[in-house]
Parts: sequence; structure tokens; C-alpha cells
Amino acid sequence: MLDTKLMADNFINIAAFLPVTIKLTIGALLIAFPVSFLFAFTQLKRIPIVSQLVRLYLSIIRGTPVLLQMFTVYALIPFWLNDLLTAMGKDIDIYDVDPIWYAYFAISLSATAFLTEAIRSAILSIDEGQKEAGYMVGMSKWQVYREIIIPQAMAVALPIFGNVIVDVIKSTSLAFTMSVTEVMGRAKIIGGMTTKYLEMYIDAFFVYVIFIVLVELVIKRVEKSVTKYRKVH
Amino acid sequence: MRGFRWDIFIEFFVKVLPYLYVTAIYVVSSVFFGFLIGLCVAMLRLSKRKVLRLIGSLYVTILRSVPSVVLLFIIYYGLPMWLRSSFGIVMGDTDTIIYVIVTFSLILGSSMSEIIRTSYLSVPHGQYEAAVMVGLKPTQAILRIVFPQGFIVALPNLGNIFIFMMKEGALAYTIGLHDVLGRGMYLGGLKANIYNLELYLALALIYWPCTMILDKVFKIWEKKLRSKYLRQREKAC
Repeated sequence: MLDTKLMADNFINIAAFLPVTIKLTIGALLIAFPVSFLFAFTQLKRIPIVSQLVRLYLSIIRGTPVLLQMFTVYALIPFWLNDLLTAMGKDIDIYDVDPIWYAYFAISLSATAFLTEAIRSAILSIDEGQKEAGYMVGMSKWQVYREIIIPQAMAVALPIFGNVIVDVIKSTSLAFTMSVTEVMGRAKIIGGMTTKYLEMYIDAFFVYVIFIVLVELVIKRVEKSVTKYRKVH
Repeated sequence: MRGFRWDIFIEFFVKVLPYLYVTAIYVVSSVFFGFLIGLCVAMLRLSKRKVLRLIGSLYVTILRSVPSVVLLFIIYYGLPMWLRSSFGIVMGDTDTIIYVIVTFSLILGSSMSEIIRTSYLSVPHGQYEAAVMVGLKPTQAILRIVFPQGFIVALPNLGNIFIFMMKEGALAYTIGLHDVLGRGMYLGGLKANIYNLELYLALALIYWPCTMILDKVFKIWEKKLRSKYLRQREKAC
């Protein structure tokens, strides 16, 4: 039956890798946020060719498994970079690069797709009158977006941002397939050493559930403070 | 850099495509059992007793917070152990798909319960009362009046569930199931992983159209149901 003592002993050992999970989450979101803003604007402005390419990207990413995206990034990008660097005559060993960089990139792919959609629809949800009122008082186009449209759109998109953050945390658990040791990877390693896989995965289960429930509480708090601001007006 | 080998790409595509049926089996069965679990959880969450409501929301919170791969590994190692020690049932090597279906039924149960709950609440209670007033039995009123209206509301989300399941189910590869991804990785391994670009492109070109077709089918279905519903309402008026 379950070796509860071993489970309790190793819980901290596995939870100790939570910082790597957090690092992966933040890294992926730091890539995804600016890119998805750019992508959303190409969609809203309907820039020819670029907007079609972004649409193609969104469709492919939403239509393929995250695991396949990870394998693709992990197997092909170093390969291409290596060819590129040798062609340029640079003597850098690309296989020395920490795999966490590929993980950031691979995880950000799907986060970007979902954030683009969230930002696009949030900006569309803001009434045209807001924009016109901004122009009327003499604001420039950039000011109207920065001061009026984007802050309101962010409040609308906040619940979806929360979902995306939770999804990103969950998908970091696949980084072990790219040889990054985070919570899941650690559980797998200790499981291999002790041959008690089940116990270690149950530990990982608790680490994730506790962490994500806490993150969701924080997100709810932030959402509440934003809606409070909306009620005043 | 070597050129793209179209012949190998086509070989991968043709050899992997039949394994779409394995993917289809776990998608359909997980959605089906997920619906049953979701129905039970939704009933718990709509119950008048506080304890039952708490159990329902606890289930949703936990299952929403666990990464699929973690639960999949727990079921993969835990289920055979539990079945052997409690019931004396020994699971064979060919039963991998069962672990996938159990895992995703549990996960889909939580999202399904939310979909069922919100679409049930979206139908005004007066509809049910009116149906009972004209002489329908309570179960009839639920099945013939409330369910069809709630179903239209639930359809777009149901489409997303199918797409989610198709993509997330690819994790079955990590426990060695030969579905689309699993078979592809196996075939890639036979060729010493030299043709990964061809392989991944072939796999993407299997998954991507499937999700697009699913998306389209559900959109058309919703549109049809909505127009049918509107026509019936016009007739009634």
C-alpha cells in the first residue's frame, strides 16, 4: 500500500522545486504578454498579410497538442540555430544553452494564442463613444489608447488573464519532457530513485493543487479591487 | 542542412492516420463519462444541502487545479495497484487506454459540471413550472423543456471540450499509448529521430484539421438548433 512516511518526507523535496515552476510561468508570460498585444493590434487594425499570418498562427497553435509544440520547439529550434550560427561563422555551441529557454518559448506559444484572443475581444468590447470622447477633448490616438481604451479593456480581460495564468502553470508540468526539472520533473526523478512513483506523484499533486488554489485566491483579490474601481464611476 | 523529405513525410502521415481511431475512442468515451460525472457534480452543487454543495465545489476546485499529466501518472501507477489489492483484478499491458479515459473523465467531470450548471441556470425556472402546470411529469419537464434549451447554451462550450480533449489526450503518449502522437513518436524513433521535422509536420497536419472540423461542426449545429428553436417559437406565437 501507500508508503505515507516516504510521501511526507519527500513532500518538501518536491515542493522545493516550486520556484522553477514559478520561474517558467513568469518567463512564459513575459514573452506572451507583449507579443499578444502586438498580435491583437494586427487583428484589430486588419494589417494585410500580417493579420492573416497571425490568424494562421492562432489556428495552428489552438489546433495542435501542447506536447507536440514542445517537441517541435525542443527538437528543431536548436538544430536550426546551430545551422544558422555555423553558416554565420560564429563558434557558439547551441547545445550548451540551458533548456529552460526553450521551455519558456514553448510554453509561451499557446499562452500567446489565448491572450491574443482575450485582448482583442476586450478592446472590441469598449464602446466607440469612449474613443470619440477622447478625441473630442483633444487627445492623440496613442493617448486615447493608453489612457482610455487599454485600462478599461484590461479590467474586462482580467478573468481570462487569470485562466491563462492557471493554464500556464499547469502546462509547465510538461517541461520535464524538455529535461527541465520543475515540480513534476523532480517527482519523476525521486520516483525513479525510490521506485515509489505513485507516492511522489501524489506529492506533486498536492504541491500543484495548493499552489494553484493560492494563485486563484490572489487573482480573485485583484479582480475584486478592479471591479470596486469600476463601481465608483 | 538536408532538404525536406516529402516521401518520408507522406509515409509518416499515411502510417499514423489510422491511429486517429484510438484518439477518437478516448475522446468520445472521456467526454461521455465526463458528462455523467459532471451531471452528478452539478446536482451536488445545485443541491439544497450545504454539505453536498461543498463536496461539489471541492471536486471542481481540485480537479481544475491539477495538471492533467500529474493525474494521468497517479491513475497509471495507482489504479492497477488499488484494483489488485482491493478486488484482486490484475490489469494487463493492453489496458493503457483505460487509464487515459479514467483520468480525463475525472478532469472533464469538473468542467462539464460547470457547463451543465450554468446552462441549467440559464433556463428560466418559469419554463419548468409552466411545463408542470400543463400536466408534464417533473422528469418530462426537465428532459423535454429545460434540457433542449440548456443544450443550446451549452453547445459552444461542449465543442471546446471536444477540442481540449483531442489536444490534451495526446499526453497519453507519456504512458505509452499508441494514439496519433504516440504512434508518430514510435515511428520517428524507428527512424532514429532523424526525420523529426517531417514527423511533427505530419502530426500537426492530422491534429489541426480535426480540431478545425470539430469547431465548424459545433458552430453549424448550434446555428441549426437556434434557428429551429426560433421557428418553433414563432409558430407558437
